Amino acid sequence: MIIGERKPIPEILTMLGDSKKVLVLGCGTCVTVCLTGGDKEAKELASLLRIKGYEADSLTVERQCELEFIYPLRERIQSVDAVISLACGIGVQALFEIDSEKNIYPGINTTFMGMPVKQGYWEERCWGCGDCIIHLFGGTCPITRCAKSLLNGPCGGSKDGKCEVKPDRDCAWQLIYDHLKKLNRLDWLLAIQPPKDWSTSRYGGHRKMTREDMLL
Amino acid sequence: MVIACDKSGYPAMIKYTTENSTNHELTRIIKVPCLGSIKESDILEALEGECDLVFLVGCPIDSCFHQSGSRFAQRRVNRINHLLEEAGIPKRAAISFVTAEKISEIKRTLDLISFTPVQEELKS
Amino acid sequence: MSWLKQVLQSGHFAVTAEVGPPKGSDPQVIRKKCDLLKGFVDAVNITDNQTAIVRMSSFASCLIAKDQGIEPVMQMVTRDRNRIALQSDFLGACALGIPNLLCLTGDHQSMGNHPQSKNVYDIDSIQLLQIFKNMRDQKVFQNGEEVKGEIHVFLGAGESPYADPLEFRALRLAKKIAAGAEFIQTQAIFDVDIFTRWMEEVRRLDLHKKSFILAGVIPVKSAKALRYMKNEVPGVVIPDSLIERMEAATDQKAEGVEVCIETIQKVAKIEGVSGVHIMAIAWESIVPEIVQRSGLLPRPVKGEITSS
Repeated sequence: MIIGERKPIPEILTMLGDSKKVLVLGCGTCVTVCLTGGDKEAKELASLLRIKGYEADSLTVERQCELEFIYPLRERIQSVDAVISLACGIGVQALFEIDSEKNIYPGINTTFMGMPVKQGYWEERCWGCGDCIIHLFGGTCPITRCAKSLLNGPCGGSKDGKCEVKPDRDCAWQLIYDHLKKLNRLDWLLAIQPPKDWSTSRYGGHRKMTREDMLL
Repeated sequence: MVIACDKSGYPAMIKYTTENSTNHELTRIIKVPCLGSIKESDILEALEGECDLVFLVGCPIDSCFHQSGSRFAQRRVNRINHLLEEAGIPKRAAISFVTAEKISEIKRTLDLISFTPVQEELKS
Repeated sequence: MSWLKQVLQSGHFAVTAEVGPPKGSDPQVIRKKCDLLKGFVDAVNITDNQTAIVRMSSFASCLIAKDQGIEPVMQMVTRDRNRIALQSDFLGACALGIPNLLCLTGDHQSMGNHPQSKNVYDIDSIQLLQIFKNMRDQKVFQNGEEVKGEIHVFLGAGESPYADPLEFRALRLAKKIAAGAEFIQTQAIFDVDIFTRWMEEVRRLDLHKKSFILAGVIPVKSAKALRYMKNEVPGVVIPDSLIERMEAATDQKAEGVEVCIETIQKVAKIEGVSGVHIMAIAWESIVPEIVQRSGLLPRPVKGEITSS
């Protein structure tokens, strides 16, 4: 899911400036799971803001990125001076679509697509390259988990199976090698992977998807 | 405001306040079945009022009557204090682990708090 | 025609060294270093923003070196340029007569002095080798379009015999050679035993016949420097006995030179090693002494070797 981290409270306070009535909007999907912007966190932030002297309240919707969930909030948003959205950047932008004139502030920094490896610890897993080839690498995505996105083997900089760029992270190629060795498929690593077609990724430009059969 | 569990915290607080002449705030005790039932939002709600310190008193971590209540309460108190500090709010939560007989922790925690900047700010 | 290639093909034990460009615009820095090395090496590598620290470009520095009368080996990393820029620079290098190219991936920018920059890594070193080989031999760009004009370049790559996973190292070398590497310069060798075993594996795969392998060495000035390398630099293995030896020495600098010379003499005896690559970064002045005392003089000169 999408992972984000709450912005430091001093930064949020600077954004709010001299707003009086503040609405803290939580989101019930990704940011709830990564314990950053769910109902609990929204309530807590609203409480802190009240102690600081703001007229703050909180509200959480199923998903802020879907207009049908946030459209009913229009009046509520219009009634306050500022909105702190604890949703990812998608939710924040969606809010701007239903009210482009209100002061809507992002309360979190959206960071990556990842998973909880264990409670309280999340790691990036997918970079959204648009052309998934995980199956060729024994289940580890080298684009995401290799700091250099190498496709033809390790760079030689790993130490004890850990990446030289992020020493607390596994070297993706060590993982790939170990897994393919177990499967007895090291021959897959001998083929020279050609240069990646990055045009399906963010590098190709802003992306979209349409389902013709689902358009009304 | 004091929140005490009815297993150890409450009896300990009664004993403490009887034995020590103390300010009236410590006699306002809320009794709960276990400190583990206190959510962060409860503590924050308490601090939204005039109260500047929420003091949790309960069973020692290893002998919590409900097993993990005290442990969770400790984590939540730490987390709340980090948030309060980050927001620049001079209010705090504190936690003390006692038994009905061993109440020295209460005094120790209160003494610690009284020397922190929080108390100084509260006094001024 | 690459002089380095001629030296290697003629069966001579080649000697290359490394020069770090300045963190400034003064070409004299390069010229002075080249003058130190002239007559002692067959070619000189000029690094490309090594460890992601901004320096004068390898391309420009190679031209200065060439003008100074020493054969350059241009290094290209894939960290900073995409396939468009790399192919473009390749054509420029060919146009200006830079005869040797070393294809590398390049250290991540977080290790350098501009850690906030965006990196590229559009392609890796193996894909780069393949692209350049096809530009030269098939006369096509990466997209299949025709490349016009003459292309003469000697392609090389780096390899570390010590990096993890060890069992994969020789296979990765095979991949690089299949992709187009004609010469290989290894990471610095301090543990000759491990290198010897790696060369056994290399020979088993006949890689020493498909490509020229130059053993990398670094002269170290102190035991402290050795310990730093052991702990901080990945892909380098340093036996404790070596550190102890350096610590016990009265003149650690001289001992470092001694160790370097011994290493060169040992690896020169290993079958399949075609030369040595001396990486005396920031200590280029010591290279002449090392070359001379290792018994590698005189270097062949043009006229002694006829190109095939």
